[in-house]
Amino acid sequence: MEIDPELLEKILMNVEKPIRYVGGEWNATRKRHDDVDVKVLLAFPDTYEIGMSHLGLRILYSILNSRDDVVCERTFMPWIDMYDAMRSSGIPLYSLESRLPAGDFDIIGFSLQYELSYTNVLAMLDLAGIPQLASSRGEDEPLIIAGGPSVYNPEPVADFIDAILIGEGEDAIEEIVDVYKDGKAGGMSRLELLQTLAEIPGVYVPSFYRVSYFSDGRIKEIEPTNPAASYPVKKRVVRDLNQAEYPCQVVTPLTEIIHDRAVLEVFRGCARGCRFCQAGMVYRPVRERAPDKVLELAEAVLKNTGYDEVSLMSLSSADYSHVRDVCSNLLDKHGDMGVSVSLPSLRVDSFSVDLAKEVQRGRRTGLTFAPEAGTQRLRNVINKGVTCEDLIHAATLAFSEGWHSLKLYFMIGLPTETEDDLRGIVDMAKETLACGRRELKQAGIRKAPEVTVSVASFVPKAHTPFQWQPQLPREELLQRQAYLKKHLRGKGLRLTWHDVNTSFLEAVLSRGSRRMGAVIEAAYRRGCKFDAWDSEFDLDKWMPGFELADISPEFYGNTEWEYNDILPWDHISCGVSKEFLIQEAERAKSGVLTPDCRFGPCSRCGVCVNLEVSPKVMSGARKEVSE
Amino acid sequence: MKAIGEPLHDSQVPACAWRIRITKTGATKYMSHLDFVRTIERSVRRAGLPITLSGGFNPRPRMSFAPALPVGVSSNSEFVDILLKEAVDANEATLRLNEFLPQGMRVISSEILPPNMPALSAIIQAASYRFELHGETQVRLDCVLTGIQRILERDSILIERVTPKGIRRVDIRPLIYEMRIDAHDSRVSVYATVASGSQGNVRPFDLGKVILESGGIENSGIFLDITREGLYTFYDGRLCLP
Repeated sequence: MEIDPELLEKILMNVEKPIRYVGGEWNATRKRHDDVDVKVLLAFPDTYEIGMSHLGLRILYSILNSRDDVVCERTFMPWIDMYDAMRSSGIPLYSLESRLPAGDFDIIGFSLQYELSYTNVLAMLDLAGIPQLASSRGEDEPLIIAGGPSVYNPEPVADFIDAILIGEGEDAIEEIVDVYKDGKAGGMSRLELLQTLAEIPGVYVPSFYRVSYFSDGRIKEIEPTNPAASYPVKKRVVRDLNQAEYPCQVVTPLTEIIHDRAVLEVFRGCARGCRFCQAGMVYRPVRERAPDKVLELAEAVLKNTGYDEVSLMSLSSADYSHVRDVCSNLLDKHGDMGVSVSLPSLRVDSFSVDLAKEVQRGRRTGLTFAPEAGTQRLRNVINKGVTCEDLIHAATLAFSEGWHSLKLYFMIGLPTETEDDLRGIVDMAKETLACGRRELKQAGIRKAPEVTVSVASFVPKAHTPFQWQPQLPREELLQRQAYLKKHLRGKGLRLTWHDVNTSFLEAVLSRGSRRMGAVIEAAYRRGCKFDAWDSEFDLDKWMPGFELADISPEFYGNTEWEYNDILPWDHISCGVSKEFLIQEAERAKSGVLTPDCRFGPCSRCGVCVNLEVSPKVMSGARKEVSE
Repeated sequence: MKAIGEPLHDSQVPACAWRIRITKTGATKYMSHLDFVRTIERSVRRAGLPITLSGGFNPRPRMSFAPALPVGVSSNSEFVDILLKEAVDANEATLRLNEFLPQGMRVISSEILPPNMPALSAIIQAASYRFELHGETQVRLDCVLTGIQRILERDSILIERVTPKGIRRVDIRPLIYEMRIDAHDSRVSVYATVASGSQGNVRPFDLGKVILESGGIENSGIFLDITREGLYTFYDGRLCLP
């Protein structure tokens, strides 16, 4: 039954930004629930503003609602004031479209974008009145599924989720819904349904695997216990983006969201091969969307939303082979209507600055480069093929074009990092600033240059060449931060850094095994929510959970693992082979670069062979893939 | 073809101002003023109406708005002036825009004016609000009647406003022009016409609180549903729609 409108009204008058909880957006889909066979609720375990910015959610919403037999609605994690108000007045988690309780849906799909949203998943299940443990859920309870980048190590949430989709959802979501529909019609039990789901490629049902451990916490064995369970579960991948569904009737929010613009994904995957980067491994291979298709979709999205900005999205948009054509085409066509183009994640080079200059048409909002490490030696270790000269060239051009504020992204605590590398960060920042003073003066601009250095702490991630590497102990990270704070002072220099406790928990959960479930549950019981928010995060509330479950967080966060250890995610395959990751880990140690397969030879990462796909780059001939 | 990167925008010349009277009800009553501005802008773009853009590197559609409505207050009478590049037929444009507005927002009337009208925010001087009283318990009409009478009998009603410079006291009594009660079936509504705009302003939530307090029903579980019913300007000493 629909949530009592009068009760809701009363609550909404007393919470921050109530517009987040009422739906009613342009292009939101309303259907009669009686008319469909399967009711799906997409649940995003963070605020409305963050969740609504997420492309994956838009894609699934559009695919599911295009079917006559399915209704798909949305729900987000209510901010704390709303969460508390809902609890105290007995309002369950509800969908924005029909305002029906989450528990009335057949399938609830969680999008897991980062590890620190896991307690929010539990909070949302709790608010929905649904048992948090998959094993405690009854026949009539909704099926809880999940997907997103975090599920490449699904183990920390294995206790809570019934079935997990590994990889890209465009095709698989329809197969899941079909299985559900037939199962429901055929009177299947929950177990039978899960078995049938497990037969869909890419679907991982955690309860169909048993994990055993050595006394030191390492894994002895991961063993399928059900004939339907595959080993490994291989990620799903869309072969051709031009054939894939793309949402053009985008739900246009009534309030400002984080990425409040039309989004066009120009390609998926990245083959640059930075050795710390999970996205660069798990989204392979690179598949570009044809420029005509991009333009056609952009036109439709702009028309249907009324947005005045298009973002050409990807993991490295300057790498898109038609980036320049597409930008100029869009501006020519829509510039008169005040439409602008934005390019996230640019490279450290002059081509990128040129592009930024062109699309921003003089709007000097700031420019960000990510050299990631302070010395050439360490940049070679992480396979970031960028030199100090590249940075200075890019900065020179940027300052001479009138930008006066640049942001530089670095990571500290990378494997093999020494004080030299930290000094390298300081030197690069100062050199960039000096370059800014010189160039601005020469260009006759009287503004003082500003360089902001943002340092994150290295977090080892599953399916990367650095997955075996420890994160530095927090004390050590603090000392390195202190070094930077001491040396990056002075006019025009700004330093921002990440909280080490947050990074530590992120590392622990990133490499966590199934035993982490008990810890997450305990943390939620102690009131942890919104752990990704600095204002809410409190590591002290997490620690008793580790003790209680007799788990050493340092084992997961700060210990180097061996190549022949069984890793918690060994039964999950993103297509990139373990041999390749080991080879890359070894090349890192000797500082050998591995080129991007778009521009150099095939790096034999295994993804094309294992998943029977091939890279698609629009400009060139198809690359040959080596076995 | 225009070279990309060329800063192409001079402020565009409007042919007319299209003044719309529009509702903001249902879910959209929770939009902030900025949300409202953005949503009008996007709806006008979706409708493909010939908006005029401001100049500079960050061109915005040229529009002017009446004083902001607080979050949570509905309205049956918001006014927006939209500057258009070409003259349009007001009725056709209304039909067109109504196809592209989110639920709860609807243009109820519109007219074409010369493009050089003074900003709406400068000419609005008064607003009327309807306070609908709801509650788990029966709303007692006699309490509300007494409350309104007391308000009208008083010479001054001091309201505290938290400003960045500290707490400021404002006398809203001289800014209340008219109040009346409407009761039918079990519904009780209070209508009030008050000053609105830069020359003096009564906030509807402040007045709502005063109504409940004067009626001695502030803690009775009764709550208010507030709707802005009109926005006015004084003309010859009389309230007129802008």
